Parts: sequence; C-alpha cells; structure tokens
Amino acid sequence: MNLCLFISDERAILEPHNDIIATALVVIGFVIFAAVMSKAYLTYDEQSSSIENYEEASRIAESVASWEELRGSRPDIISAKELDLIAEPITDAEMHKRFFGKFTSNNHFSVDIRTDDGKYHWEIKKEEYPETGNLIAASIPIIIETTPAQHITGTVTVRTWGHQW
Amino acid sequence: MTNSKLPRIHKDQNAWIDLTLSKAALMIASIVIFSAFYQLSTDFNDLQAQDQLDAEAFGLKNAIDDIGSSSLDNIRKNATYTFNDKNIARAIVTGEYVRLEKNRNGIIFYSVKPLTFKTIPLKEEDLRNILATNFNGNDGTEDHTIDTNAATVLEILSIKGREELILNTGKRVHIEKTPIYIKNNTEVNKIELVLVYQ
Repeated sequence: MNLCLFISDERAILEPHNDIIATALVVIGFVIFAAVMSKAYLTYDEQSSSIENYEEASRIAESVASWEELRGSRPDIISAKELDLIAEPITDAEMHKRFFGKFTSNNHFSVDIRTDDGKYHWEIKKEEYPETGNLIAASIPIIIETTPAQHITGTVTVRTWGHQW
Repeated sequence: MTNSKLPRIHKDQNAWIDLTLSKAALMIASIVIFSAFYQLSTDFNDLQAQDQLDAEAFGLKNAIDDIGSSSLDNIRKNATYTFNDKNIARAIVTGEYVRLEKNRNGIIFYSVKPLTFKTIPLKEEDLRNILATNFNGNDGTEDHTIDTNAATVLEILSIKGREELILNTGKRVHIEKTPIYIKNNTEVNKIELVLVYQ
C-alpha cells in the first residue's frame, strides 16, 4: 500500500535526493577504494623493506660463519678459541678490526654466537651503538669446536638496526 | 519585479530549480571524483616508477653483496650485472652505497641502497697501484704483502671508497672479490674487498 503511494507520487520530492544518494555512494566507494589501495601499498612497502633487511642480516651471518680466521680444524667448523679473541671482552683488537673491516661503516649490527646447550656464549660488536629503529635478526646453524675433541652445535645470530636512508 | 517573482519560484510545483541545482551539483561532484581518480592513478604510476627503480638498485646491491658474502675459496669470486631498466638517468656506486636516478615527466626519482660489504669502485689493477704507491711498492698480493696494520690499510681504502663511480647503464658492471695481504709482525692476514668497475 505504502510502496504503491511512493511509486505513484508525482511531486518529485525524492528525485533530487536520489542523485545525492548516488553521488554519496560513489564518493564513499572511492574513499574506501583509495584507503584499501594505500593500506595495501604501505603494507607491501614495509614488508619488502623488512625482507631486504633480513636478507642483509642473513648475508652477514653467512659471512661470519665462513670467515677463514674463525675456522677450526675443518672448514665448516668455527673455533671457540678464535671467537674468544674478538668477542667481548676483546683480546685481539687487530683481528677485531679485520673482522669489521669486511663490512661498510654504515652497517650497525651485533653478532651473537651461542651453543645449543647454553654453556657458551660470545658477543661480537663494533661499538656501543644503541639498538634503535627497525631491529631485524637472522640466525644460521653452525658447529663450534670448543676443544679439538669436542664439537657442539650452535647458532650465529646477527641483529641489524638503524638504517636511515 | 524581483519581489513579485520570488513567491512564484516558491510556489512553483514543477521542481525545475531543484532539478537544475541537483544536476549541477552532480556534475561538480563527478568532476571532483574524476580528478581524484586521475590524481590517484598518477600517484600510483609514480609509486610504480619508484618501485621499479628500487628493484633495480636492490638488484645491483644484491649482486655486489652476494660476491661480498662469498668466501674467497668459493669458485664464484666474480660476477657481472646488467641493468634491466635502460631509462635510468644516472647510476652511481661508491664504497658505501648504490644510488640510481630516473627522470619521469619532469619528476626526478632517487633510490639509494646501502652496501653491506667493504666495496671499492676500482679495477684491481688501479687498486694494486694505489697500494704500491702508499706502501713502498708492496701492492698487497700474496708475494708482496703490506707490512702494516689493518687500520692503516682500511683508512687509505675508505678515502678511495668515498669516491663516486658513475656507471654506464648500457654496459655490464663487473664485480669481483679480492684479498689484500697484510703482515703484522710475523703473522700474515688478509682483508677482503669487493671491487666494482666497468
């Protein structure tokens, strides 16, 4: 009954309002579309930046694990004795310098090496830089030679932070 | 005259004014929406151009860092990089970063990627000449080790590393890893460097 009246109403009161409603719907649709696209782009940008930083941390970890001067009795083993020289407290400043000499000065990172049994832990860092900004960590498994007769599994963890480009 | 017309407009039941006003508003709104669409698509095209430039810079950085992270015992000690985007206006590499520039519709886009491993934008021959000049003819090869500490060598190299090498994007970029042997007392050690040149 009411619907019949509404359709047969010839006073055109609703006619201009239809346009406004249609326009409002288009505007709302456009705003939602723009917001979704912007959000998707920002998420993509943030994630690709995190992946780039993770790849960098991972490369540093691989480079640390394969550094000749840290080698134990076999090429794939890291010597605990050599680690003692460059880990905190530093006992061989020259070797510590050579270690960080491999990397560019704009890299801020620290290296944590620990055995899986939790008995041994080494920390290698350049200077006392505060860990600020986007902190990314990457780990790779290694074997550590604590004595010529004892080999323990462990991990190298590299933490990078503070790229401002 | 005006006062006599105004009540007539109020009493007009044909709704012409309403219709005209609403259509005019609709046209204005359509223009605003279309210009917003146009602006959005332009912005996304700019973002896409920036992303392409970032991808290219990341590709070059990756190629340099891949060689930097490889061990000197590794068979793959050198590589080449070819630019995919031929519209890059300027490509620069230094010891610290890679920087690409692109011009699109009067807007200049930049992409800077920091390098991870110690890099020098020089050919091996030039590097050895610099070392030989600074260290009494010793160029840091296995047969002519440099008799100094790592800090001195790194300081000299960092000066060279700050210099910019402008790359020709139509040519291949050569990347290789090389050692510098240094002798500290009786112990011989080496510093690893990545060289980038064309």
